[in-house]
Amino acid sequence: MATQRKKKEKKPARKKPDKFYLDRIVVIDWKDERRLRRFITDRGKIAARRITGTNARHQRQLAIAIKRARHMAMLPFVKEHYR
Amino acid sequence: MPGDSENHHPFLTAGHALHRTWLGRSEDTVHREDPQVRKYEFAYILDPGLDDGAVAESMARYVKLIQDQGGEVTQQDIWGRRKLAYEINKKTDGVYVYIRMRGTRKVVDELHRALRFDESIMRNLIVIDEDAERRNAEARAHMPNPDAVDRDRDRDRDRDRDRDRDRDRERPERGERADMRMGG
Repeated sequence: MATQRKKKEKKPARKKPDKFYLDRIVVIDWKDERRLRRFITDRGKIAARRITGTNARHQRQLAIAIKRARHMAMLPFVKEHYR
Repeated sequence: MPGDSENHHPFLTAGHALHRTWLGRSEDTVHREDPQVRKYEFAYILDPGLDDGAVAESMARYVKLIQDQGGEVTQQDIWGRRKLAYEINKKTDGVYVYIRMRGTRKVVDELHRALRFDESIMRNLIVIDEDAERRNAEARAHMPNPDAVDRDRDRDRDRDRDRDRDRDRERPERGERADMRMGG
C-alpha cells in the first residue's frame, strides 16, 4: 500500500534585497566604517553574497572598501581572541 | 624610470588601472608620466605619541608637498585619535589625518616617496577620490526610495508566482503517485 506521504514543500528562498540599493548608496566608501561592519562576519571575514543579499556589482565594490578599511586599521583582518 | 615603458601594457597605460587595485597603487601598470589631473584621497595614521602641534605640522608639511608638486588641496582634516582595529608596531591607537586633493600622477609618486621616509606614519592610503559622500547624498535626494517602490512590486510578483507554481504542480504530482502504486 502506498503511503500517501505529503512531500515537504520547499519554497524557493525569498531573495534578499540588496542593502546598498535600499539605502541608495551609489559609492561604497571605505571611510564608512559603521556600514562596512555589517558586511563582515564575527571573525572579520567578508560576508558572502548569499548571506547578505548584496548584488554582484556592490559585492565587488564592497570587497575593495573593506580591504581599504582594513589597511587603515578601521576593520580587523581577524579577531584574535576568537577560537 | 627609463626603460620600463617597454613593459607597459598598451591598454593599461592611461591610468584607469588605478581603479582595479584596492590600494590604488599599481606602478607596474600605470604610466608614470600620466599627465592627467585626478582627484585623490590621501589618509594616513600617525604615531599616537605625537602632540597636537606635531600632528598639525605633519599635515601642513604634506599639504605643502602636494602644492609644490602642482597639486591642489581641497580638504584637510585631522580626524584625531582613534582606536586601531589591530595593533600596529605594538600601538593600539593612532591619529588619523585625511586630505583630499587634485593632482597628477607625479604628485602621488612624490607622496609615496616622502611617506617611505616618514617614520611617524604607521599607515597611509592614497586612492582615487570617488566623492562618496556627495554622490550618495545626491542619490538620496534624487533617486526614488526603493523601499517604498519595491514593497508593492515584490508583493504582487510573489503572489503571482506562488499561484502559478501551485497550479502547475497539481497535475504532474498526481500522475507520479499513480505510477508508484502500480509498481508496488
